[in-house]
Amino acid sequence: MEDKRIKSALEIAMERAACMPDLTQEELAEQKEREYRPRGAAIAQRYLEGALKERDLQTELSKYKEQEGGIVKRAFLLTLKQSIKVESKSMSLRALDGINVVEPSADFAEIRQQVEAIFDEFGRQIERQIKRYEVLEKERFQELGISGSAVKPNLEESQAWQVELKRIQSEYDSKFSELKENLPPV
Amino acid sequence: MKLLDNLYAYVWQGNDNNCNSYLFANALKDSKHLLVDPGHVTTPFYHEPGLDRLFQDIKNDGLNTRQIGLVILTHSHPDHCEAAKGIREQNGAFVALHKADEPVYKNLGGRVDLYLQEGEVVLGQQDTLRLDIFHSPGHSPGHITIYWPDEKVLITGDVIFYRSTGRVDLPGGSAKTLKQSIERLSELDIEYLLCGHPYGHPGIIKGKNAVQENFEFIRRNILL
Repeated sequence: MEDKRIKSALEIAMERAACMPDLTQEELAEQKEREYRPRGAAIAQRYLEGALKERDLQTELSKYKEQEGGIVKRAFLLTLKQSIKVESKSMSLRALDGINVVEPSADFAEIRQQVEAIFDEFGRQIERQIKRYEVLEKERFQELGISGSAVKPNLEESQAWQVELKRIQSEYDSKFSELKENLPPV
Repeated sequence: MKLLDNLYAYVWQGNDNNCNSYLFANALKDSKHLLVDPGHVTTPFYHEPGLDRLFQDIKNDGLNTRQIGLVILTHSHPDHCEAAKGIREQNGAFVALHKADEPVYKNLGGRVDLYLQEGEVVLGQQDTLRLDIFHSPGHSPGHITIYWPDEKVLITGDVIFYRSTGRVDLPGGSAKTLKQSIERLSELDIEYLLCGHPYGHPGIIKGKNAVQENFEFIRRNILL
């Protein structure tokens, strides 16, 4: 005899799910990636923010084994690599040190030195250009008849400086990109 | 109100709290004006039209408000600086402030074109006007006062009032620092002390003796 009972929403959902085909190996792997990648990124983020020390990294990463462990470690390394950029020297060096803890490299000292050198060169270039653009801004104020030792331009409000700053940053980001290729692959 | 040759004083006449404003007419190139402390756009409690009244007073003096090319803020409290944002947008005027007061001003949505630090500001191209900027913290960390040595005028903002001083209980305030700032300013040769508020007095103290008496009163009764 046919079951005339009204089915609950849960029962209907379960019946439909049972009819769905099983996930393929690729889909399962993708699902795992989606689940574990954020965990690796989160460990990297906590490390960059100073909530985790270098010595804590292996312990945190070793909580994940086998396939999951691989995903977490890759995401961790990728996040750190992406954090090496011209906007922050301290963050970049910290990221570099974190990478070396998890994936030690014989060339590490040399790479670190190169990164520091790029930052120093970047700093010098910025300083030079700030002076140049301050002069240009002062000339703009002088056009309205404003000058004197008390006047210091706010370059944040200078469109010309913002364009130049982006140009310099992008030039040095390219240098970092080249350097990042010498780091362990992710 | 014309106070001196090209210096105009606008004493706040409303009931709510707002600041006195000062204007140096035709001080910049192309006969543009410098305005010090435009005050509130609208006062916070009684909703009095601070900026409209100021602009009307400036127009009544025969001056064009569209010609304001530079706004100097003595500090970044809203009763002194709120209207600067609109003047900057409408006139393309530059806004100047001490860097130490910039964070508060930014929180109010303001943008600073140039910072003023200790030193001199030279305005105009031929008949130049020289103003000395003093960093006078205590009421706020980046408070400045403006001294016009040629006419012995000191624009005090909220450092000194008639028989009173600025508050030190607001964020970044310091009684000790304010005292040092006042002692330093008291050494200047001043004929006109132009205060930031009309507290119990219009806030315009004329004459060297009256100015010195005011400093003495403050020293004896407030700074101790």
